[in-house]
Amino acid sequence: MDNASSPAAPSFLGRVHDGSSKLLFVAAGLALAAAATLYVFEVTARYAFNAPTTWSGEVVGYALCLVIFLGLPEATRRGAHIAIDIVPSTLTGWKAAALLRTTDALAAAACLAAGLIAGREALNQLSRGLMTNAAHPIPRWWITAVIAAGLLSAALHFLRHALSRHPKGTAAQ
Amino acid sequence: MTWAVLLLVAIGLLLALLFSGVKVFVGFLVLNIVGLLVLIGPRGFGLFTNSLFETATSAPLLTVALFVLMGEILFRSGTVDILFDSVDRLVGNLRGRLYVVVITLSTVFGALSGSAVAVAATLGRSVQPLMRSRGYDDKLSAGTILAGASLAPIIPPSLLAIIVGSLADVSIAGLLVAGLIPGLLFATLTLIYVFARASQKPAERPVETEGEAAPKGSAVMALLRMVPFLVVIASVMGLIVAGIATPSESAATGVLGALVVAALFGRLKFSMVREAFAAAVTTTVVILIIVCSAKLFSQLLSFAGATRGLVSLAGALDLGPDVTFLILMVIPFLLCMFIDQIAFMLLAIPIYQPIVQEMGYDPVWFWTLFLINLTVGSLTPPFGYTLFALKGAQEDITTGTVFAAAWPVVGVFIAGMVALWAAPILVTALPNALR
Repeated sequence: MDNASSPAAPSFLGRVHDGSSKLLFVAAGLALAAAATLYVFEVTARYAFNAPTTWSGEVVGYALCLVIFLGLPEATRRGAHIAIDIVPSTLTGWKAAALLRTTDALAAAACLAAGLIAGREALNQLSRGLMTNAAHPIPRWWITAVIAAGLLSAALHFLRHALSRHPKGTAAQ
Repeated sequence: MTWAVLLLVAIGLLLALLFSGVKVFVGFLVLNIVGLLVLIGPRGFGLFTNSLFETATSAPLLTVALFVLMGEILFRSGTVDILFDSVDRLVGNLRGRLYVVVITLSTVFGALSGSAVAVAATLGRSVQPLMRSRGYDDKLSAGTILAGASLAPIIPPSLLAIIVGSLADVSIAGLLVAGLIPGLLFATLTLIYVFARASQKPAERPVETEGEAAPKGSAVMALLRMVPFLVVIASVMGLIVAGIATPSESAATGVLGALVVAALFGRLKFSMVREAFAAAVTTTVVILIIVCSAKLFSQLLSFAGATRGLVSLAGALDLGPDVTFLILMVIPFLLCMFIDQIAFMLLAIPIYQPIVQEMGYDPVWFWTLFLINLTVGSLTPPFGYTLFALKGAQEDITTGTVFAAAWPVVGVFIAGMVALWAAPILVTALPNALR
C-alpha cells in the first residue's frame, strides 16, 4: 500500500472533491463507531435485559456499507489500495509513468462503469419503490445510491491521479 | 466457448491485470463487468449491483472492521508495551530468553490482532534492535519474528478466517476457533526449532549480562498487569465459544474491552482513538472493497457452467482425496509467493468450493489448512507482505538476511501443516465442541 496523493496542488474543484472525500471518511468512521456501539448494546440488551432487538443486525449491515463506500473516495485519494507491484517496480522513467497513468485510467473507467451501473439501478429502485428484504425494510435505493456515489467519487480520484501523477507515484505490495 | 476456456481466459485476464499493477479490486471489477457482458449482456447489470449490495451489507464482514479496530486501539495506545514488559519478566533469565519472549508475545499479539503485517512491523521496530544489541543472531532473530508474526492470521481473531468463512459459506465462528490449536502448535514447533538450532551454535543463544536480564519485580505483579489483556482475549473468544455472541458481536465487545484496557493504563486519548478509527476505516475499505468487487465471480463461474464442470473434472481425474488435497495446497503455496493473499483467496475459493464438497473434506479442516497455507505464502520469498513488513520496520537488516531467515520458518510451518493433515482432530476438535 502506498500513501501517495495527487502531487500537484488541486484546483478549487479538486479541493472541493478532496474536502468532500475527507468529510465522507469522517462519516465512515462514525458509521463504524455506531456499528460497534450497536453490537455492544445488542449483546447487553439480549443477556442483561432479555430484550434482544430485531433491527440491530440490519442497521449494522447498512453501517458496514457506509464504512466501505463512504471511506472509498478518501482511501483512493490517499492511494491506499492494494496492488501487486512486481512488474511496475522494475520499470523506471517514462515507462513507469505511462504504466501508472494507464492503470489509473483503467481504474477510473472501471469505477465509473460500476458507479453508473449502480446509479442506474438506484434510480430503478427509486422508481419501483423497492424496499430492502428485511424485518424493518427501508428504501433499497438509499444504500445503492451510497454505493454509486462512493464508486463515482473514487473514479474521479483515479482520473485525477492519472492526469497528474509524476513518474514515482506509487508502490504497492 | 466451453467453461474450461472461459475459466482460463478469466484467470489469465485477472492475473495479467494484477501483474501489470492494476489495483486488486479494479482487476475484479473489470473481470466481472466484462464477464457479465460476455455471458449475460447489459441485462445482467442488476446482478452486479446486487452482489455489491449483498456483500457490502453482510453484517458478518463487519467482524473484519471491528477486529482491526480492536488491534489498532491496543497497538496505538502503547498498552502492548506493558504486555511486552510483563512477558519479558515472566519468561525469566533463560539463556536465549528473547526468542521465547518473541514467540510468547507473538502468540498473545496474535490473539489481539489478526494481521501478520502489524505484528511483524511492531516486533521489527521494538524487539529486533534489542536482540541485535544483546548479541542475538540476526537471521535467527528475524526468523523468530517472522514465525511469531505469522501466528496472527492463524490464532483467532483471524481476518483471513472471517473472509474465507463468508465466501466459502462455512461457520465463521468455527473457522476462528479452529485456528487456536494450530496456532499454539506452530508456536511450539518454532520454539523447538529455535532452541534446536541454537544448541548447535551456542553463539546464537547468548547469555545476557546483568543489565540485560529479565526486568526485576514481582512475577505476580507482571501477571496482574497482563490480566486486562487476558480478559479481552478471553471475552472475545469466550463469547464465541460459549455461543453467547456472534463473531461480530464479540469483536464489538473486544473493541470496548480494548478501550477499557487503554483507560486502565492511562493511555486513552481522543487523538489515539481518532487515529485508530481512521486506520481501521482505511484497512476495512482496502480489504472489503476487494471482497465486494470479487463476489460476483463465483456467480459467473456457476453461470458459465464452470462450477459443475470442475466437479465433473475432479471426479473424472479420480486422483483421490489425498492427491487432490496436495494439488489444492501446492497451488496457493506457489501463487501466494507472487500475488496478494486476499486476491488469490477471492479467485480460488469459488473454484475450490465445489471440489471441496465433492471430495468430502471437512470444510472447517480444509479451509483452516488453506488459510494457513496462504499465511505461509505470505512469508515465502521472494514476495510476501510479512517479509517486507519486517524489512520495512528494521532497515538495518538486509533483505537477504530476511529471506534467509524465512526459509527455515517456512519449513517449520509446512511440518506443522503435515501434522494437521495427518491429525485433523487438532483442527476440528474445538469447532466440533462448538456445535
